[in-house]
Amino acid sequence: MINTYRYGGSDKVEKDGKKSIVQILPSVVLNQMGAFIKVTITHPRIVQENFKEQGKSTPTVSVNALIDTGASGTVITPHVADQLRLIQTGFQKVSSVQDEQQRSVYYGFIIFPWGSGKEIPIVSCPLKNFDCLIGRDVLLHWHFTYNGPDGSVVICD
Amino acid sequence: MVENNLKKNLNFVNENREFLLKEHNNKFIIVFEEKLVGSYDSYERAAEEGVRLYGLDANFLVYHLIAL
Repeated sequence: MINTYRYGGSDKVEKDGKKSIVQILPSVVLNQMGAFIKVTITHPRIVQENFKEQGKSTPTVSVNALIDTGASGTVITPHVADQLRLIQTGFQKVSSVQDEQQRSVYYGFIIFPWGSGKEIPIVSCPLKNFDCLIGRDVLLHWHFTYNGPDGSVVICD
Repeated sequence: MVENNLKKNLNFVNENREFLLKEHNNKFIIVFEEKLVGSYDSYERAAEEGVRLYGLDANFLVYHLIAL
């Protein structure tokens, strides 16, 4: 499955007392935001079956996820983990430039915009600007092209 | 509560690490109530089995034995 994402956006500006909307180039958006896609985070299928047996619906959330070649694993914020009430299965030492911490690991299901998904361990960690990082545990299944001048990315899953 | 139970299970792994490594090197193990329950080839397989055995509210540990 080949998926192309070309970024773009608009911004409000005020000049000489006049408000107007200007378009932002895709290359600028990609450079400023990084490569991101909208994903759905939910419970793995076996957990969903359990919910169904109990007559409950499975919670899901849609979030913007930054594709992060610097992250070895996929990450969500503690807020998302709490919102979904994901099953915690352990801990993981997480190292950044600043420090090293032990963070919670949850059993989660990340679903991509093209419909496929991965049931994986997901670490919970506070993040800036995004609620999810797609790490190399997912990227190892992808062929990923970052086209800076065009402001687009191509993901072959 | 969940964190505490998982930490007890993690302590069990740390205390028996040498033996567990010898028997289950590079496997994903399930530890429940400070007892080894099973050993699997992947995280997904272990977590799935944990849910199958204990349901949604149990505190089983899955352990791999080897922007901010």
